Amino acid sequence: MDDPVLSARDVHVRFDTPAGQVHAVRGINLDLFPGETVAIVGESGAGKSAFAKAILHLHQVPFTPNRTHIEGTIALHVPFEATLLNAGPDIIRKARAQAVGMIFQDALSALNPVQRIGPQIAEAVRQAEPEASADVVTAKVLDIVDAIGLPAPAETIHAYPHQLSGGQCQRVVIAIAAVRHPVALIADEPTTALDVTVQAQILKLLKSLQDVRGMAMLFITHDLGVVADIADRVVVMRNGEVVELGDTHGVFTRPQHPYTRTLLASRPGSRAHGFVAAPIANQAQPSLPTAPMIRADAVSFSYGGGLFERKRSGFVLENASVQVEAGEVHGIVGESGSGKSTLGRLLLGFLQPSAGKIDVCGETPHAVRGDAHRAFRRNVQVIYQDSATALNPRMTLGRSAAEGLEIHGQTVADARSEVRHLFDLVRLPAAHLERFPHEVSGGQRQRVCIARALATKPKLLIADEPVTALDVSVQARILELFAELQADLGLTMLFISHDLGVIRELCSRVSVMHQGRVVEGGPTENVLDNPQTDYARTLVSSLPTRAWA
Amino acid sequence: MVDATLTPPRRIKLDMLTLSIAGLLFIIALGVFAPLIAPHDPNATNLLARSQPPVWMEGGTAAHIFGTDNIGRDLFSRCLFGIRTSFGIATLGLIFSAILGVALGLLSGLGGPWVDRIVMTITDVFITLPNLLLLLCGIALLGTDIWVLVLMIGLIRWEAYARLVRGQVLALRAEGYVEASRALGGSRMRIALLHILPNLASPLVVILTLSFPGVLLMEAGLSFLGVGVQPPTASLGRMIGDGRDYLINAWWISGMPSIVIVTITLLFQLIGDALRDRIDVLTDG
Amino acid sequence: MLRFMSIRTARAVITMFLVLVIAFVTLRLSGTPFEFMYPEGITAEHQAALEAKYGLDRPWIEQFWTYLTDIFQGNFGRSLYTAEPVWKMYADRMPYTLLVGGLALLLAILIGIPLGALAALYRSSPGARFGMGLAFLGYAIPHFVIGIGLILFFGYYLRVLPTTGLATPQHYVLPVVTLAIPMIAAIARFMRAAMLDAIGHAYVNTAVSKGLTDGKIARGHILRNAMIPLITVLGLEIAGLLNGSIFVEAVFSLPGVGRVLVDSVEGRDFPVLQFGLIAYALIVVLVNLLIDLCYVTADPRIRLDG
Repeated sequence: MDDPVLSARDVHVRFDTPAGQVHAVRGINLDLFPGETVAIVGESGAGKSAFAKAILHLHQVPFTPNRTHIEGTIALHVPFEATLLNAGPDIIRKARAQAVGMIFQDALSALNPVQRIGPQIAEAVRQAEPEASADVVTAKVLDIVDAIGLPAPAETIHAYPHQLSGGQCQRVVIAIAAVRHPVALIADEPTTALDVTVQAQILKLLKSLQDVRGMAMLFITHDLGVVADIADRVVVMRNGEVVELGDTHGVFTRPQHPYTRTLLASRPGSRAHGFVAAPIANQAQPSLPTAPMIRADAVSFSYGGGLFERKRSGFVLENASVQVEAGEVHGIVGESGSGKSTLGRLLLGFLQPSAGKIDVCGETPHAVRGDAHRAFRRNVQVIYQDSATALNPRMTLGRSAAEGLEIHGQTVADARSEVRHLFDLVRLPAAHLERFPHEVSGGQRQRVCIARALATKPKLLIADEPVTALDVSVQARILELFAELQADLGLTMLFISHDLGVIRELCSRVSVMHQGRVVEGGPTENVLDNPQTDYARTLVSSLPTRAWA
Repeated sequence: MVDATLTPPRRIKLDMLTLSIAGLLFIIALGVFAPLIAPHDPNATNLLARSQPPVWMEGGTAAHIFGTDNIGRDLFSRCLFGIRTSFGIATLGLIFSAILGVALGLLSGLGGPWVDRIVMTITDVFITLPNLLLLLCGIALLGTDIWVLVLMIGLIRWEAYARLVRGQVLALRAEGYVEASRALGGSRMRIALLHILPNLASPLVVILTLSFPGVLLMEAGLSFLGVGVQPPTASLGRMIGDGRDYLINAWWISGMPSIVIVTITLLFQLIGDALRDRIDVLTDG
Repeated sequence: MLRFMSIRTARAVITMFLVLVIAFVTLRLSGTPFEFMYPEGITAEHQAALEAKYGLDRPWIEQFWTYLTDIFQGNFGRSLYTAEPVWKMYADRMPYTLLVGGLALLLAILIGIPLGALAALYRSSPGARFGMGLAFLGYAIPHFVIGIGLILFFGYYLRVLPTTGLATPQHYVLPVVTLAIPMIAAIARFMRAAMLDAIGHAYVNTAVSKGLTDGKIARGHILRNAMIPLITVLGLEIAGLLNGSIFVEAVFSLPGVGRVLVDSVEGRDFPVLQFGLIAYALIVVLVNLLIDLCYVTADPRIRLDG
């Protein structure tokens, strides 16, 4: 093999925080060779981003007191030899401008909102080649904008960031990084904020740029699927340390460290999927042919109605039909903007459909009143994505979980013992009853939300991306809980998610949504293994995990 | 990373915020207990002791530690009563405007799109109106009674609170816990009382604190111009205004109430800045 | 952009209409002017005749219409005391108010923006701390106290500057500085906060990763973004300037419109007062429209969408 372009030896990163010093990276050794892609994976707080930023001293924000201490050696070998740590500002700047490009997670905010795209890219060119004439710079900008696949380069360079989509913004950020022909790219979760089909395009773009220009790439991600797709070698980090390092195939097929094994096992879709929900329905209601729990017929919905709003809003939902049988776990999958959450809110009666008919538990959700309304609210419960805002910050967890019991007329004492029981059910220690939301972790908060939803003994649970905000290992435990509860209580569940892995693991049937329509539906295996419509095929093939599932 | 942070044990730190609050409480106490503390009747003239300098200057006496004005009234006593007047009017005016603002903000946030649009248009328009001119019109029309001042200040300051409350209500309505409560069948009343109001309280307290010095200065300014609190009632602004004619020979007639006013507004400013920093920390984290 | 500006213009029109209504109501609620014109009292017939002559017996809505047409024809009435046309009272004094206000605004922008920007960039330096400490003081102290302090120090203690009137250029120094200080403080404080906010944004990281020097980042990225919110604050400050000028004119006995206004309140000279209300409101509304226009032009996010 060639000599490395970049090498790190015994790198430590420490942050000063009000609570004391945090040792975020504890001795990393890594060589990055020309043309290869190394992925660093780990859960949040593993230190992977901290390490990536340390390479170019990006922890030090200009005009801000330095709170980061970096030790060890980071050496650049191509195109010039330099020790980056402890180097003077000029050398660091030269390395940033000419040698190593950086790609960030949130592309829109990584671009200056009041500057056009062209000048933002041109600035990078001029920094790398100070002698270049204006014409050369413009030519290079147009060249790279073309290469990253933005339409009509000559016009696009005059656009402002907010006029582009998230995926397009990420292309611009990549252009800024790649336009100076760096020897290495550092990509810090570059696709995490993107939809899966866009993610697939961006990964493809990075790959092709890398092939054409022979760049090395350091790719930071928490998504093992992406790693499998893109990386030659993988570094698994945990608590600031490297627990495993090896070629991707080897690590994935024969993980050495127990943590790597846990991580791989936590991946949604990695286990035997479908907790076989259908038979449970039969057990619960052996003989009676039950009416469907949810029936949405040709439902349309659009926002607005005010004088000004009407013209800019189209239909969020158009002729969407879904049917969910009692006892079934039904997945709704789609990208952002597909209308899946709107469908959830319609089923809860928070929105009124513009057209079509909805029947949930035998009621029309937005029109149910009086005693029927109370019964409906007991029977249909919901769990949200963001557990941080789903709990009132001023109420103890126990009080929050008891809210449904209070509303439906239980005495405080009864509710207390009931909530203890519920906390048991969702595996939360009773000590947490008196805690406040900010005092516990995201996974624990989500458990409280589940307890609150289960308190009224609902028949139907609508879960809107309930594990999206969680780390994979936590995600796996929450999904396990869902599966168990579903099996024990015979719940019907509508599981809204953008993650096909999660859907595959939990759902017996699935509906695929795209631009407000249900484009495909059926048993999960059929839909995911043998998609019939174009969109479903794109979606399934975009899923990184497919590469090695 | 682990986000289970342990809250440190509560103890009162001697930081700027605590000191400022203590100082302010002290001044408020001076105003509240002015009748007990004041060494002289604030309106009693003493022609033998006219324009006496403060105690630390040559010719000053311990009987009049802030000195006396041009007709021999004790400036210290007048300052104490002036604090009382200024705080009284500002507090009442602020309460009045807060009630008005919160009511309109709640109406706007919970009353449906058309009510919201109407209330917000009124609010927008009110923000562009020249406050001081409206005050002057109101005073010219209704006279310079203290209650007129309270009323006018209340009528003019409500829009900031209405905006805040509306914004908070709209934000809180979209919070997961409010929706979850709706999904559990919680009534509007329950949601408003249990989930919205408690979370509204602290930003409201902060903005009221932040706007208090502005209200106080509004009264002081009007009195300074001679169209606010009328003599013989002691008012800090009026004292400064009246003392203008004697700046050359007896600067303290304007100077002492000026120092009192500056102290009060600086303390409020310190508290406001500290509160703002803490809120920023809260919103960042 | 058109949509945004048309909404703002509509709002400005509504505001002015509301001001006219308030001015009208104030004028009519204040009673008939005859008490002033005939302090010795008049007979009932005489009063009825006068009311008929001035149209005060007609329905309110009709009176309001007459009032509006009068105003649009530039007929604002006369002072109840001097019988001078109201607009002339203001026209004679407005130049002084505008000159002092304009100079103060200029001073505030020239000092406030760099002060705030530098204080943000070098926030831990002693100079920045000192500057912001001064800004803190300036922000908390009302105009009339600043004015009196400056008079005492420069006028009576050092005896270097005149303290009343506007006879010579030196006379302008203290009033302009007094009016400018709170505005400098407000602009500097806001500018500092806006800069710090911009520094925290991710596009600064991008700029760093391009290899830009700190100076280029400050000028090209931080400052440019911080200036946009500052525009709206300037609008508020200009409105505040009008309020402040009333106090400054009182402190320094300037021949501006402030004195006219205060006198008209004390003497319940309603025609004069209502003109002041309308004129001030018009200035504020126009300034706000101008500011909105600047804001839209400066921020592509509004210019291209709103």
